Amino acid sequence: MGLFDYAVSDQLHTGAADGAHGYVFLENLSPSDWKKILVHAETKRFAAGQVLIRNGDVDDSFYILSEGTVEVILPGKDAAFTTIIEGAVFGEMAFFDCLPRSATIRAKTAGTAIRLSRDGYTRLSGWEPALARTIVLDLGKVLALRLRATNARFLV
Amino acid sequence: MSGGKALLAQAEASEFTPYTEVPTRLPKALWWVLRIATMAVVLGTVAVLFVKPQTGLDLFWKLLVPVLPIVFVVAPGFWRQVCPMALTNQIPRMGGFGLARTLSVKMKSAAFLVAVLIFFAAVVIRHVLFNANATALAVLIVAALILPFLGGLVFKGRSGWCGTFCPLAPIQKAYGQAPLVMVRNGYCQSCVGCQKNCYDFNPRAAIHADLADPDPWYAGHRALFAAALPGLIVGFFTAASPLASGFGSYLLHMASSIALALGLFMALASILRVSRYKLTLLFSTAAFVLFYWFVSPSLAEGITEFTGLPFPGYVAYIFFAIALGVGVLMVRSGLRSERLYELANAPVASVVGVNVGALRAAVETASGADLVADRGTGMSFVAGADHSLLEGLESAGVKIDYGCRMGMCGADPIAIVDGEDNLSAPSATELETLERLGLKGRARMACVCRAMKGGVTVDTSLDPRSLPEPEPDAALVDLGEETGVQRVIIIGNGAAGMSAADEVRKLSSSCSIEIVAREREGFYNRMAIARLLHGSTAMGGIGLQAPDWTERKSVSVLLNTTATAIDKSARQVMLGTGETLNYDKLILAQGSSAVMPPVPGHDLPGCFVLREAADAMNIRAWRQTHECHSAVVLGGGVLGIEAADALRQLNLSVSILQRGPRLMDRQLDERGSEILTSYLKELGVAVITDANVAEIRGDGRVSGVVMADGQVIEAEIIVACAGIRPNVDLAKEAGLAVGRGVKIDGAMRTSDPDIFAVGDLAELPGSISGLWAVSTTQGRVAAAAIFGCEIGYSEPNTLVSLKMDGIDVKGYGAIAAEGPNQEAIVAPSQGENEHRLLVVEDGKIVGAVFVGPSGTGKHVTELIDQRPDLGPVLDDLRRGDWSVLGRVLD
Repeated sequence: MGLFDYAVSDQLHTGAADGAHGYVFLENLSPSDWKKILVHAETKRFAAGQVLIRNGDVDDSFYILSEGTVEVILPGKDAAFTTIIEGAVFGEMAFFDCLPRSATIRAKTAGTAIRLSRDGYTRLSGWEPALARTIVLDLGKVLALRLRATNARFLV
Repeated sequence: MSGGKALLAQAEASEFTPYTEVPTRLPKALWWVLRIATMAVVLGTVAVLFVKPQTGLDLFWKLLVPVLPIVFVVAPGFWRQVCPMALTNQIPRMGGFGLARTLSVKMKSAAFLVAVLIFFAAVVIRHVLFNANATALAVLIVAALILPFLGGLVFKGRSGWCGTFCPLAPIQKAYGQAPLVMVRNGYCQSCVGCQKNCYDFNPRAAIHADLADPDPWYAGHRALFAAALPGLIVGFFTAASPLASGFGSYLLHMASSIALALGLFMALASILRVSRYKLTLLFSTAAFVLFYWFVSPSLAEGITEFTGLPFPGYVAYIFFAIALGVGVLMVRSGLRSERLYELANAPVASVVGVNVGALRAAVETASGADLVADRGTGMSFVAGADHSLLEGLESAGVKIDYGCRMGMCGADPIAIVDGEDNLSAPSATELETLERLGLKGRARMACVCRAMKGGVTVDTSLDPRSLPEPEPDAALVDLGEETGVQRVIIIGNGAAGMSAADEVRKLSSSCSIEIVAREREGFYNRMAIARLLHGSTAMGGIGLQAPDWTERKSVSVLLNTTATAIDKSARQVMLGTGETLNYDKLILAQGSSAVMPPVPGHDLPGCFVLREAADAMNIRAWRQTHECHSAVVLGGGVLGIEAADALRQLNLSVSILQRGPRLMDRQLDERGSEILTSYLKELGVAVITDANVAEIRGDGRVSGVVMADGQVIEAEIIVACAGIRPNVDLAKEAGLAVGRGVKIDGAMRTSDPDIFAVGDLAELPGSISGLWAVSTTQGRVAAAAIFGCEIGYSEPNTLVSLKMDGIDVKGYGAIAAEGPNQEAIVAPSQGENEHRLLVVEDGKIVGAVFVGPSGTGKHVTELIDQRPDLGPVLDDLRRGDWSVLGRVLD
């Protein structure tokens, strides 16, 4: 992904579930479940170039990119180090540990993202405990998969 | 980790640069010279093949062919720029007469295999035909120029040959899988995305992307070719001439050599714990080195033949040594790019995704395009009559201060920068509040103002007070001067006292106003004190007074000052400081105090009441200086629940002990209370109803609560929110008529004509004390009465609202039909978490219970404010159409 970021529609825009891993976040949610989540989340529309997350900011929310492309910029760099495409989940580390953001996320194109903060999540869990449990377990799975990927890179 | 990140950045920055970012080192014109020169050499070779067949064969096999592999390893891009086949392939594209068709998915996946078969066939047939037959070789070369042209005529980009069917492409990709030098692809001015994992687009990443392809066959083809390659080379160079050994035997030799290589690859793949790429790299490099092992002597021979230079025999070894060195560089470069590819290809967010379709559909239905933007934070939220600006901002993650959430307290004025016309019209309550704050025309109260459609821009970073002030009202008659009332003293600086002060000043600009306040803080939002528990801004954000209020209104406020006695006859107030103040009129507004239930142990350290800002800050300090795990809140009313929610956010395990049968039992019916209780329980707050506390236990400080049934609930903090008692001592000592509170008439006058009482400590027959709206209204009535104006007191909006994130709880008046004239109508449930009930008498609302997620209580505040005639819509309500409520409002 990213290295062949050219117009091959059948490869890139199929919902972003990385084929190699094949894990779809919150796969079995019904449309009404999504609606329940959106009640407590922010629907954020952004323009190209807008910064969604700034490195160092304290903000305990995670994002799901529903439309558009954003890029990750590492501290001290101007150029993007990778691109995130629609469907991706990001920012989940700060959602769990409430520590400052570790990178900047800037919109490459206009788009829409869903932002769920801890407060929003708490509200959701008050009303929809089962749904909230699903979210936190799935989000845990995202973290675990990414930790495995990191381990594979640095430990093996 | 930072080392890894640096590496990642490096990977993206340099290793996998797409061709578009590779610098052009040679001028375009020079490339054309090189292309034409190469084409000339090839066409020349064809000519020589016809004229001097043996020379042509030697030129081709001993010189041209042996040079290519090393070019492929070092700078494959160079060859792909000057390759004569690429040139003929690109002619239709450059000439603008190509059909530019897209290769079908099937053809794309089969192309590589086709190219491999052609290549293998050509090599195998070489011994039989092309090595010795110059004409056949010439035909092969010419065919290799025509076929690419045809491919270029039909298919777009380089997908008709270079990236697909070209039999040299697999070997270029195998040898050139980690090019030592990158050369910019000059044929594709802009990428048309004609093929998958395009080698010309990103040469170093192509092999990795191919091998990591989710389609195992697609990836397998690439590995298969690299695995077979050493076998093909060894087989070819070790085969006896088929003319001597027979064609069958020759084929068997070739096949067994290839099979041996394939078998070795598979065996190593099974035995060694290395990636498939590493094996592919190993076999490709082995093929390359073996090739030069075999061709170095004939290469030296060829050079001698065509240059006339007499090369000694060991030169062949030098050539081989060079190839070996290049092979080592190839391995190094390959390993490096594999590592960087892995780093770059497992980016922060590509491992998982959501089903975009489902999410997007939900977003579309939920939001539409109508948004309210906040200039202060750059956030936006969905506009709609169902949510106030405050709720919208909260859902967008913007935190602003709030208080009553009913437009009365004035905690959340918000500056409207644009689209004011798209907002709901302000209610009388909201207008009154804005007027009190001096913000009429400059701001709206976020908690009650709704964006009916999009296009509204607010600015949470802007203080509305900094906006230009509208024209002041025409000067009024100074009632103070007219009536001779020139000295007004107000005791207490809560909502009642401050509202009275505001009103007095409005009616008279000349009289002096002195406020005596026991508390240390200026006028603050008492309804928000629970937030002082978990919020870290202390009093910041809950003050309700502009910094210049005392100056602007010419009011003198004595904070941290106690009134100790009143001398009615001398019209004097004695202060604890020994000073004495004279008054013409006195307004008592000391409010009430919290009651600590008189159970044994209630005076242990760790037991608190919660009524004032100082109480809240003391509790917060205690939590930080003592080891605390859990807290108990005595009382399940509004304040108790708010306190429990605040303590929960201090990471304490919280239990609410409610004496009554349910939470907020005076404001909510069973169903409403049940929903509230369930919400609290899901957040981790335990609720115990019909609770009877026998004792508060502790050794030196609180350690728990013992219930009448013997059950012990551990707690290091106990907060009592179990009722209030009017502060009547001063009035009693002064000899005023006192019952439960200070007795007053409809003009808030006490038994002394110069003394008035307002707010929590006042006792007016039939009125409910302890509510903000009652206090402010009484303050206004008293101020008018001071100057002899009887404006008459009528009970204001006494809607009770819980201030808790995520849940709407509103209760007013009756919670069930009382008597035959009243009717309770319940809205059809919009979900298991929602409950709406209205009690109606003669078409008027006499009771309401609204509990559910944010937005459930929409219209309630306005309904209670305006109390419209519901007679015409009662049938609709009974039928379940509650949307009519929005229509009966102004």
